[in-house]
Amino acid sequence: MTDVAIEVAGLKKTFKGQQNPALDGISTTINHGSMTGVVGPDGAGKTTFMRLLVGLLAPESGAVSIDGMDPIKDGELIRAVSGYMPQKFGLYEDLSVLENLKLYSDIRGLDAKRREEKLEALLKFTSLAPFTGRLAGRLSGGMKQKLGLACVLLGDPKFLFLDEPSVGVDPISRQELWRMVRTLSSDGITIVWGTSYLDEAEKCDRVILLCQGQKLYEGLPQQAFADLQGRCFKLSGIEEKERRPTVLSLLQHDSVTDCAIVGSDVRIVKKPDGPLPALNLKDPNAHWTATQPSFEDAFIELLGGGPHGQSPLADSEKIAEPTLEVVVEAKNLTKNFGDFIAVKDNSFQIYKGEIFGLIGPNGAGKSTTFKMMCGLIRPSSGLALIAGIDLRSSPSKARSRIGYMAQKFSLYNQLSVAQNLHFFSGVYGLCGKHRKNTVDKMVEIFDLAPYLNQNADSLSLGFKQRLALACAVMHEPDVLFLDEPTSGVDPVTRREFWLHLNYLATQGVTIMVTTHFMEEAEYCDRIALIHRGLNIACGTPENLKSLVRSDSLPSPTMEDAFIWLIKQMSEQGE
Amino acid sequence: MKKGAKQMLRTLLALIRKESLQIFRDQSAVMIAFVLPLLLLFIFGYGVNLDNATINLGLVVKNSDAQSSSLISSFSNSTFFNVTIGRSTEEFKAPLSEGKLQGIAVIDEDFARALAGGKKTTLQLITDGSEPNSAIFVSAYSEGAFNTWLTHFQRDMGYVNLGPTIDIEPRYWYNQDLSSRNYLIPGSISIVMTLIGVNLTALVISREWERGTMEAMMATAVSMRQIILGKLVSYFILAMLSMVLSWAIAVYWYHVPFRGSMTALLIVSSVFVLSALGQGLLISTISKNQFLSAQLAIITGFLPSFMLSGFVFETASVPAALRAFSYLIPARYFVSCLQTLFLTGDVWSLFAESMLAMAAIGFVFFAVTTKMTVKRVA
Repeated sequence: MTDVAIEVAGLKKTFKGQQNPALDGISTTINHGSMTGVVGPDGAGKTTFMRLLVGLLAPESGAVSIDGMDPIKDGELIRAVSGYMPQKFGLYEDLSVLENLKLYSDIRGLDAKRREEKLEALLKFTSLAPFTGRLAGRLSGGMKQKLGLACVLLGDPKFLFLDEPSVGVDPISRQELWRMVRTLSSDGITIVWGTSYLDEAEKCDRVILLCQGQKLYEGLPQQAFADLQGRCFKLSGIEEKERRPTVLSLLQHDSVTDCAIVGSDVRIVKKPDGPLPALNLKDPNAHWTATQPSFEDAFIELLGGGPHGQSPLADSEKIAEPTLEVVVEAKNLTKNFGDFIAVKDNSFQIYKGEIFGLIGPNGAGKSTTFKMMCGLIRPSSGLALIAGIDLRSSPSKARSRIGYMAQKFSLYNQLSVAQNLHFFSGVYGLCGKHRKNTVDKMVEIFDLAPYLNQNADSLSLGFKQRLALACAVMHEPDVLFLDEPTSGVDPVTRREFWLHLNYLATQGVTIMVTTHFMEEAEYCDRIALIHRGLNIACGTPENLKSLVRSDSLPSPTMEDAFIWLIKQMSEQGE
Repeated sequence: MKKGAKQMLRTLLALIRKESLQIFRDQSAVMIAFVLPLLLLFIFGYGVNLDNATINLGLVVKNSDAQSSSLISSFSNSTFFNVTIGRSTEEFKAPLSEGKLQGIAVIDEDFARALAGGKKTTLQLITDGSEPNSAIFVSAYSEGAFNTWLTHFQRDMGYVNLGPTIDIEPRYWYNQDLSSRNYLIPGSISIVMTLIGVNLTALVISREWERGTMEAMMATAVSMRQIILGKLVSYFILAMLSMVLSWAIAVYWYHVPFRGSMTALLIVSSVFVLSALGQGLLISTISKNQFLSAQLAIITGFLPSFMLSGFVFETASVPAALRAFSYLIPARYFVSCLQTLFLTGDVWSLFAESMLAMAAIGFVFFAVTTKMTVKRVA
């Protein structure tokens, strides 16, 4: 089946009070039985696109045709043959698994016999059978996602629209979801899948890449980076402490369009006709090898390449020599909320100038650990030490050495950029000339000058992130805590952000980040994998990946390692 | 077609079942529907008392002559006053400001002389203006006590030029003891039902928007009308149950008389609940977040029905503009119906008029909601 199922022509939508359209003239065709990924960062227009397809929004101009039906005019007909799973899965959290399923089957008009068959099949398909009595609100993210899918599948849909079903879900559930959706796709269901994970894009039949309401690319995912074949290289065998300076110097090289740390290597994308940068490293083992391009490379290329040149952060401070001084330490941290153990016996040490990542799905206990480390939550037991100071005994002393950037950025949206900077500099106790100089320096480093009088809420996600980072580092903290700092931004913005972090780390700032992006784990010096409140493994990304390296899996991903470790742990538990 | 109708009914029943499960699992719904009535009736039954209690009066007597003593004993013997005697106004200043006294009466030095000489006499009365309600009580009762005393005094003294005095003997129909409880408790039923109809309904619909379940529902074959109908039926039943509970407490616990009929109560309440549900629905259509909905419900639903319905404050005594506005508040009609039902009986002419007004207001709410609600997310 390769005939056209969904036809979209010049679809445009502008929301009230917004200057730029959320979706700007998108045209595409989707074939029967195909699996199409609608990919892009937050605010790209993915959800708007999905809602327009199922008729939950009326387009400003343009048209959608699903098997010849119009989503607005023939809404009821389309809804009868399609399933739509919104973000957050659309479950009634105060109803049990079975009650949710029954509600949706009644609405879908299944008769008693058919309902029994269907429920049994779906419970088996989603392996939710043991949990039918549990309230949906008490399920894990992965189980919610499966239940959401089951509710949608009750109506035997021919079209399936899934809006970011896998965001923040643990890797095993993500894998299972992919397996399930693949089965459905091979049964002939047409699937449209919205995601901000670029590695998922590669697994789709077809990809529509959206960014700021524009379509950047459409076609086979592999086709997107075909041009990049032969332009991607990695530098292996360099000393650990050399990686960061190497990246910073490679970024100034003319023929490099993108450069990042990946595990123990440094990976670059070079210009098609440019030479490989010459190396002047002391280490004789350092060498270039060609590597495979990815969808992320393609996205960065489409956006005009990664960050380039030198950041003002680079020369504003001296480079600190890496040492093995422990700056941040968790000793058997445990946190209970009632009878729920959010974090259990978590211990780790972070050295000066190190970037340490807490990696794990939503609800695993990352943020709770994180908040205990910066003194926002009191641990049930165990210690959180900053430079040897117990946060419990002298919180203000320890906190004055901390910079903190909360999830969704702790900015005052109704204040201008300048006012935010001014306010936070005051909060951190800067005054007089020093205060003015610091604010000026931040404006220069983070390129905020054109936006000084703009309110923070009108900034793009990337600039909000910059401003939040500026506010967090103004008082030159020794330790920087960043909670999900790059969630939902495009890869170029993410590169820029990590570049700043790299500069800070080379200056001796100790950085702790949380993330649910597995690829981001690779940018860290060391990571701790958090699963169901437990720190299941801690080490360099390379170390953890090498645990699963085998002949059949010569270059495992971080996700492979995580899945293997979780399975190991549950086997040991049994 | 028949099959279609059957499926519609089935969907509706499924939605109602879902709603009931949610109501009974949601602590806040149970609290508002069943615990709040108990609490409100308790407050209005025992706590709030708009009736005149004993007045603590400070009596300043400068001369201890016979006339003054006679006036003092007239005050002291009254059941309305609890009198403290003092020599100067100064003594009572502190107790008055502390609220231990509600008023001070000052008998002048030349009180007796003036009376004897047939001159005009004055009794100075000082009250606490920061509590106007009791201040009015104090002055009215003191005046009454003084005038009674004066009449008797003059009669005893043999003044005859006064002519026959007229005694007014008031009868308070429908609420013989003028007990405020008897009209506050029926009125508070309207508050409970406003809370369920407006606040709870607005909140639960906004919650569906916030949690994304509305979006999921809308993407199924369910029509918006069914979703809303499912909610209305459930919350209608909840409000009526709560009404019956409140009624039972009023009648059996507080012994408020109930002179109307159950039928009339159910019919009038139904019309009121529908208008309240309409308002809740409209609020949730305008605002899709719970916080804003709660604020809107309190400002446009709860507060007006508390203050402008004649439940506590009689509508006759509010400014004309506000009184005109009060005709737009369904609770205003409902409160007067309730008070009539409890204290007077079935007055169908009043009920018909009130129900017509409530139905009209409700109709406007539903009409605006229908016009604004399309099956769209934004």
